[in-house]
Amino acid sequence: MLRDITLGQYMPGNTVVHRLDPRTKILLTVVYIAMIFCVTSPVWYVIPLLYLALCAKLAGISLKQLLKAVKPLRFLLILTFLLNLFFSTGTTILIHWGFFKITKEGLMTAIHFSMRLIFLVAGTSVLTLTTSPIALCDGIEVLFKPLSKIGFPAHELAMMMTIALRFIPTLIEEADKIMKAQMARGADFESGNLLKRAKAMVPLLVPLFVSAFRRAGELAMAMEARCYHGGEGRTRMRVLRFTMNDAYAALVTIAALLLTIFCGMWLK
Amino acid sequence: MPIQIEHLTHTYMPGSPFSAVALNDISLTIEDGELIGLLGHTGSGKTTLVQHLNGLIKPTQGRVIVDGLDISQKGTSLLDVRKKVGLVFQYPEYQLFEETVAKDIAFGPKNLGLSQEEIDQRVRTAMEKVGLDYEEVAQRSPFELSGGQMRRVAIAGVLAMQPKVLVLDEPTAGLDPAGRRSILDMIRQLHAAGGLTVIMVSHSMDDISTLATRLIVMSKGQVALTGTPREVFQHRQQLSEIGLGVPQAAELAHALREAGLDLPEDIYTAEEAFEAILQLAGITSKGEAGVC
Amino acid sequence: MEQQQATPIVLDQACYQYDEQDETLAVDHVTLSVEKGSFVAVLGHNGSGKSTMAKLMNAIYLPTEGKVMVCGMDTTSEEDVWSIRKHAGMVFQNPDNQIVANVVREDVAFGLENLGVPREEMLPRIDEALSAVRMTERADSAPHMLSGGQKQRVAIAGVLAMQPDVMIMDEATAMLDPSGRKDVLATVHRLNKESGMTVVWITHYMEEAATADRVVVLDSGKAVMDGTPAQVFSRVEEIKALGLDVPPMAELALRLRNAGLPLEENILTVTDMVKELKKTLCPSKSST
Repeated sequence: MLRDITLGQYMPGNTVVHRLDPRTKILLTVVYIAMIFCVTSPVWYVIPLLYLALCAKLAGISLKQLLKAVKPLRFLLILTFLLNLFFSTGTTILIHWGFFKITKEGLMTAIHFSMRLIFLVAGTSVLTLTTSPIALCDGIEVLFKPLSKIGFPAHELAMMMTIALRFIPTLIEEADKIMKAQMARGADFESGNLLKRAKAMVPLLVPLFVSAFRRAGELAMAMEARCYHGGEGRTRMRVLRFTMNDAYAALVTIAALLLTIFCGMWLK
Repeated sequence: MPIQIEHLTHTYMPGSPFSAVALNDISLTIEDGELIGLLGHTGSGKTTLVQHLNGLIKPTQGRVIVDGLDISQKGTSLLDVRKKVGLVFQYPEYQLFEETVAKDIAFGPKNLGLSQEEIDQRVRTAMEKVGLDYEEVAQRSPFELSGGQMRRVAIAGVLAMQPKVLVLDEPTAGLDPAGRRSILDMIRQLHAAGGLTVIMVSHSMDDISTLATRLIVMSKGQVALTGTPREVFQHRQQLSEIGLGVPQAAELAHALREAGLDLPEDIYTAEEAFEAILQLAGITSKGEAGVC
Repeated sequence: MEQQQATPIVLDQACYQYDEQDETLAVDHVTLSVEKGSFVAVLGHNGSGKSTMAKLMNAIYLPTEGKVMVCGMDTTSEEDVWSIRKHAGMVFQNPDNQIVANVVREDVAFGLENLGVPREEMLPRIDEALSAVRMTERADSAPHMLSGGQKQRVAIAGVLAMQPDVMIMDEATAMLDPSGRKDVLATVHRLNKESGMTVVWITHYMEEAATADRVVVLDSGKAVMDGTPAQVFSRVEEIKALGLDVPPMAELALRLRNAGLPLEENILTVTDMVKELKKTLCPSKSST
């Protein structure tokens, strides 16, 4: 009964942020990332913070959901913080304890880099929380289309992502079934050390791969039977359209970026 | 080694918005040596029920007791339960993974921690039981075999655990008539050899009616009917409401009775229908038709 | 144009050989023409060549000998391949492995997108196809939430939207449960009756073949029988020798005939049998 799982973190909704064109959201996420890297001192994170708060508010995303997105990174965060704290060079010594010393500069860098990481993840989560994987595919395909002139496989990439999304639930269900079938033959997937567990996966992975290849072959045949011959001359049922909202979103985001640059350069 | 199912209820994803009751207060006893046909629509709970029998899933409420072992009790070793109840899944050929047929069949016995000789012996016996020639097939890759042969390898893989109860989830799915007949014959022989209780999930009334000693008909997570095929097929109306129907011979006998002909009520095999019609026509053995 | 008039599918001494080393012909000199508007069942056991033959009918495989014509086009002509596949739509066995998109409506659109149909024209065609298979309500569902029978109906809609002249159902019911099978068969019969869609129905289920206008029985790549279901299934012994089933009533009728009961040869269903037996038994009852 794994068929009801939802993929990724997408939260279906119909807010103004959800309705933005995926291309806008992808591009503005890039702008937002640039904004984060333009912050020169921890205090100026107030600008991305306000910007993010505005986005979250408009998208109906709670603080809890944003923190949940950051949670998987907590170990990386702690590591970043500690490394910067102990190994940054600085002159103003705050604590000196045997081999370790913590400087004021080190502390600032540690806070700075940790904040950067948090803001990066929280911001990109707004994108994935409000944009369905399919819309993301579409957006990526259209954005990368100009690159197909120099041989970048934009259409193929998007098609691969679509098919992957389509087959993930099928393969999860199948994996569950194979696992049960092997457990019925006494297989044990849960105990033993790492090596033993990895070995125990063979009876699951081999049938799963065999089946995935069989499916791929059959799907390719079915696609050709429906006249699929690459992206050339293909029309699309789903079309992407910019609205005025996209323009407003772009304005607000670019304003925030300029403000960040300005603060970083002149308000030291 | 009977299986007792007491007030078994199973709910998938309880407490979530997707929560669904798959089994609803089922009580059943399965005796030694029975060949049970488990019938029902997709979604009637057959597969869920069957997966309880060897502890692959646990009851939400109620108990499943296999040979005295309660599958949801803490100290129960599920490996012990799985040794007793062998479960063959639908399309079992999709679980094969080893380089050779013999190695694949040996997977179960190996998990039981048996000696190499014992394992080899079991592989040979299991292959013989499913009608695969050891010399010819044992060292071949299971992936080069035909669909029907692959299915036999998969069934042998479960038989090699030497279970007391063999559960097969739609063993004939996707096979053509000849393949279907030969798998059904194999199941009949396995059961006839004695010492094995068989539970077979099926969609096909015609497959199961001549094979099973008892039918269990499920509908909406409950046992709707149970009894010998003859008893169950009396409930034509109820079966058709469940969407299952009866074998064509039973259908014919019913239609003829409706038309005013005098046939016994409990006909369900083609043989019985044949005899009854001949009797009506006044022909006792092969010979001239009665006066018209 | 001219293609509209042509017979949907013509096989002329068509052969197919998988392996150059192995001389076995999967399809062995089959000559067959499928008339417009007909419902032809191709019956055979696994490995009889029926699925290979299906794939010859829309240029997935090309005949290694002989000729296959789809709506007047030779399948070996390379420039016609997409046109051939548009005219001869195919539904495959595994419902999971032929749905490409994550949403039902978009999967139905897939073929149209490939043909380069403009969007304005696409939308009504998709709606029409979905309503023809009674799946309008599930247009926005994810395919993995559907039953096997529903998935096959989506696959049918995907082919239907391309407005083919013939639909080839390549064992499209083999992996379904009985209700799914009934459902898909009924859907295709309705398309055949209501819009005159030509159907080639590949199967090993005799009860499905019995509902066709015409049954072609394939064995070792050869067409060994060809006729109406009544004609084909009255040859009970031959069919059984080919590893196939006959309708239980056809078999019972044969046994009763052999025992001396004067029954007609065209009994396939319980209804046929009851009608015949009433004719044979009731007058004798009323006269005695």
